[in-house]
Amino acid sequence: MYHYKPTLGSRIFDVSNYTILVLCGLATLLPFIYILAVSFAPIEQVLRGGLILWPEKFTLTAYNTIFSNSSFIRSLWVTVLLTVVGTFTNVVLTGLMAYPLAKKTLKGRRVILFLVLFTMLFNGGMIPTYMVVKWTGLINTLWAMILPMAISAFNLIIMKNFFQSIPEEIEESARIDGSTHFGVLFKIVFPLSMPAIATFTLFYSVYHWNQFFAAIIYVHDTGLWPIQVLLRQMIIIGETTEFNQAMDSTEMQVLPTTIKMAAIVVATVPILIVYPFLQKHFAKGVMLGSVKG
Amino acid sequence: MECGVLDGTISRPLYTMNLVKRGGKWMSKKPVSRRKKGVFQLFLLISIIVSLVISGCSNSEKSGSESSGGAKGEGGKMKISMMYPLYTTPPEKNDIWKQIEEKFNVELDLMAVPANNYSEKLQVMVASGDMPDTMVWTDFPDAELNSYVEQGAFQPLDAFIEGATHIQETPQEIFDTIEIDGSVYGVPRTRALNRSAVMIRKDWLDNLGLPIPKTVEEFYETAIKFTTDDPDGNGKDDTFGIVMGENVSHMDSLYMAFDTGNGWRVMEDGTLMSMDIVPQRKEALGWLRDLYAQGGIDKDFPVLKNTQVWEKLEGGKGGIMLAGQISDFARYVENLKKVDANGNLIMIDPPVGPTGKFGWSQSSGFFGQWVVPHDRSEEKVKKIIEILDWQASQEAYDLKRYGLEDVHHTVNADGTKTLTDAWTNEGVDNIFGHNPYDPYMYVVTSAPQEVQDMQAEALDRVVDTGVVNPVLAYVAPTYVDKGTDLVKTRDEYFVKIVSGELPLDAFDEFKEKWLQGGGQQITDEVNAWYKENQ
Repeated sequence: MYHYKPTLGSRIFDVSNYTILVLCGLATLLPFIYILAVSFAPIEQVLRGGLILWPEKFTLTAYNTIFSNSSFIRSLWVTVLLTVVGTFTNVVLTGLMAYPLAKKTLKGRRVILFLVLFTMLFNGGMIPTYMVVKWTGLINTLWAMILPMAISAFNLIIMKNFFQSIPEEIEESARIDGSTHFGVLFKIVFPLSMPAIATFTLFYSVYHWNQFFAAIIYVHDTGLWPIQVLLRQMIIIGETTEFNQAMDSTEMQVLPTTIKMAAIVVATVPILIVYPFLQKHFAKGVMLGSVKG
Repeated sequence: MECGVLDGTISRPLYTMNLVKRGGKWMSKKPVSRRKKGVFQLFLLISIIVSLVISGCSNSEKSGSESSGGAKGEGGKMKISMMYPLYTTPPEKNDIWKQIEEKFNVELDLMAVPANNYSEKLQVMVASGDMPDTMVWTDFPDAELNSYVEQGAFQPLDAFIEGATHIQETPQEIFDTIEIDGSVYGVPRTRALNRSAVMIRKDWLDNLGLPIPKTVEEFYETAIKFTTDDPDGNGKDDTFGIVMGENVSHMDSLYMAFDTGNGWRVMEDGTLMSMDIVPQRKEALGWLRDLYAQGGIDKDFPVLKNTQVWEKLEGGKGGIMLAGQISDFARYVENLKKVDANGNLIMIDPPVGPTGKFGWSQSSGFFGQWVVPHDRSEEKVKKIIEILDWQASQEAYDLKRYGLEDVHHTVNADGTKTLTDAWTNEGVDNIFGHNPYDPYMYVVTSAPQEVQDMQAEALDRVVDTGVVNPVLAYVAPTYVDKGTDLVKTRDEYFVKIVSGELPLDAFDEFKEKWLQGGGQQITDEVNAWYKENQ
């Protein structure tokens, strides 16, 4: 609060500060506005080229085409299912693993933590991972996209730190009152860790929403493909300049730009909508993993 | 702590000087946890070494465990899995699919994999030993395929395809090209040898009173006039001559006109030189450079991707495409109509160069070949060939392109067929991974009849204009390592030369770099192979 007239210097600073920030904001917003505008624009306007920020005529043909394609709808449904079930699985499994690791009295805690850290640095590679997934019988099922990466080592460690910052006294008093370990976990620790849980829910949701590589490698049944696979088909094919290899032009179906943009909007908007609902937990979640106290 | 040295008495033995008494025993001062840490560190070291050794071992076994070769589905039906790249909508298990299953009495598992990740999926399947019954090997020529064949991963198919009537319709040259060590290991998916054409705006030519260009000089003049003389008559300076994309793309016919050769050029002394460094290439670049300087080529070309290049043509910005696909012509015409109802795009003959040469880079004549893993039973291989042979027949081809009557297409009064949305949405095209030998495959069946006729005619005109790559089937070992870098250097230099950033003589600098960077070795290897296989 100023109790005196702001000096010229601070006013100049304010103005330039705001200008720069607004410009940065616009720079990030413009591409998205472009995509939105093109998705609603008639194809003639797009072909004529130039920067489009507002469609000449609101046309819904692109969206019509997309939604009338049954495989697009089915993969949208698969993605939603995958995101919901997957995120739930992830959060529960990560929590269940992080809680015991937060207790210093756990035997073998060091070893387990080391192994977890190890996986963050080293990876078996595509082929051994494929073989593990095959031997566990997950090929061609929805679980092949959920279980292999169910617990992210990074998230696990952060969650463990979060649990460690909860005062022991609370848990002890619950135990004294006759609660089981699971009761303590679900009724006391989880609710107190809402910032962490909300953040991870979002991370995992976005991860599942963007899944495509696991689907291509592990799932043969095209009915189980999430939406990103279909999007790649629509948007990226035809972008390469190597004319001779692996691109057989008879089979390429180059979609009008409007349809590509509409597909992008359909794939991005649901996640954007989820963000505000988890917003209130983030303010607290920002300090995740930092030293307590 | 008391040692008692000063007053002469010893309250404890000297050897305990650096120890403490814990639980009645003398122990080191290190707390328990730090001692355990030593053990812990040893454990880490051992586990790292062990895991490295194990991963090293398992990686060297490429064609590892065998999957059950003769798996039968329920009811005793044979299960056949086929894997191939997918470019459009994935195939649905509709009536056609079931028809095929009934016809051959099999359970069909069609694994259509998105084309962009196809090579990775292929690698994973082969290396993990979990291969489908047959799959399309897309890369050609491919050193990896050759080495897998040598290791015995795939079976020779000569005996099986001898009796397959439709597969035998494939021209013999293609079988000769793909054979490894005297046997054929794959069923090739044939494609036309030449499928490109020059596309030009006839209405612009008419507006400016220009004839159809034939020689490279005439193309030069026409391109400049398209830029400067407002061919679309709208009073705006918004057109240019020739469209081009990043890495100097869409220039095939121009290079052939300047006689650069396809891949490798047979020089006057009988040896082969890479088309990237022949003097004719310098000439072609010089032509492009001058034209660009005068505005005849799209100023934005260094950053344009394929789809953007096509949009320039479709949007009425560029008037000439020197190397477009005949199949794409249908789409260009359709999109151009939306922007300019009077636009008239036609296909013409490739430019004739200063030495009278013209033509197109001839393709291999096929795209991908179906290989069968070595461990599948004879019965299964026979069934696979039966299915592929049927897919190469006219009957299957019609089903592929049109689907079932009234469901996927309707027949018009004049006999032509119109495809319905069901054909696209159910991915009917992609139920069939194989196709017959059809020189008119690049005619787009969903286009208006007159466009289809133009495409068929254009395909006929270019049939014999292909410039052959004399070492098509060969992969130089050095190319496997250095190839990508050489291509990158080439693209960088060429783009800069054409856009004027570097002088034309920078080409000589590039040539030196190319030869030093592995090009000389590749040239030697290629020439050695060429001599042997004359």
